[in-house]
Amino acid sequence: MEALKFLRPGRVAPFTGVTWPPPGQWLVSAAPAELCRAGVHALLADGLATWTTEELWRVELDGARELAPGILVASRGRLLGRVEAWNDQTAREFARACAAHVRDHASGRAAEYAADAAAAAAALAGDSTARVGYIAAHAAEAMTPGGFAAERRWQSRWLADRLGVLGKSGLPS
Amino acid sequence: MSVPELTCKELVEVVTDYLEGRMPAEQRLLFEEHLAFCDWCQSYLEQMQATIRLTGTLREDDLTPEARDGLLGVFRDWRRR
Repeated sequence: MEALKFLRPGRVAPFTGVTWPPPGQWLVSAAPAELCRAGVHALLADGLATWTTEELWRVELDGARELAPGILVASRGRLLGRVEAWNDQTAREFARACAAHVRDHASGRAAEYAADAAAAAAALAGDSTARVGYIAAHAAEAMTPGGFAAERRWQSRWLADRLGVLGKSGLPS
Repeated sequence: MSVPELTCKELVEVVTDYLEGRMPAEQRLLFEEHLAFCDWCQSYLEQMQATIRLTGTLREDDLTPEARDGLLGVFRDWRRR
């Protein structure tokens, strides 16, 4: 099945440090798939917002299972192509969208979080996008219990829509 | 409903479990979710990994007598706590 994968520059996996082979070549796990421990990990579109890094790739997975919401783990995977629409510019757009989405309705503690998110978005370096989304999700939680998860879903859907990956990775087009 | 997550302080306390693979999957997921947005904890983890890598290559003969005595003193103090 097709999915999405955020990587560090040079096709490097953010947690294991493994360098993925060039597009088309399989990366094979030596151990059985296990969440955050072994196997090739990738994302459905509704899991995107939590895991942003510098590069986004479309990947093909073999034998994938969804072991956590939005997270697929497979015995092997290969890169299909880079999502060029994800770059410094769209990262900044995403950060601003996250901050704006919670700013208008926030009050009290939520307004403090929203202001932090807006400030972080304004001072954003390309690799700090994830922090803005996180703060904005906390602003949503401060407004409504359960708001954190709902805001993350909204952020992921915003990303998938903006990057044109809907319908290719688990979300209906 | 509170958000299930680790703080930076909690992450520092369990970093050894993470590096040694002794953490349940759910906690490992929370750990990595924290790393995904926290540059400071990313740096801390990288420093820990570098320290383990470099100290793993040291032999007793590599230490000066002063460094050896200093390290033993630190370990003795730590065990007394």
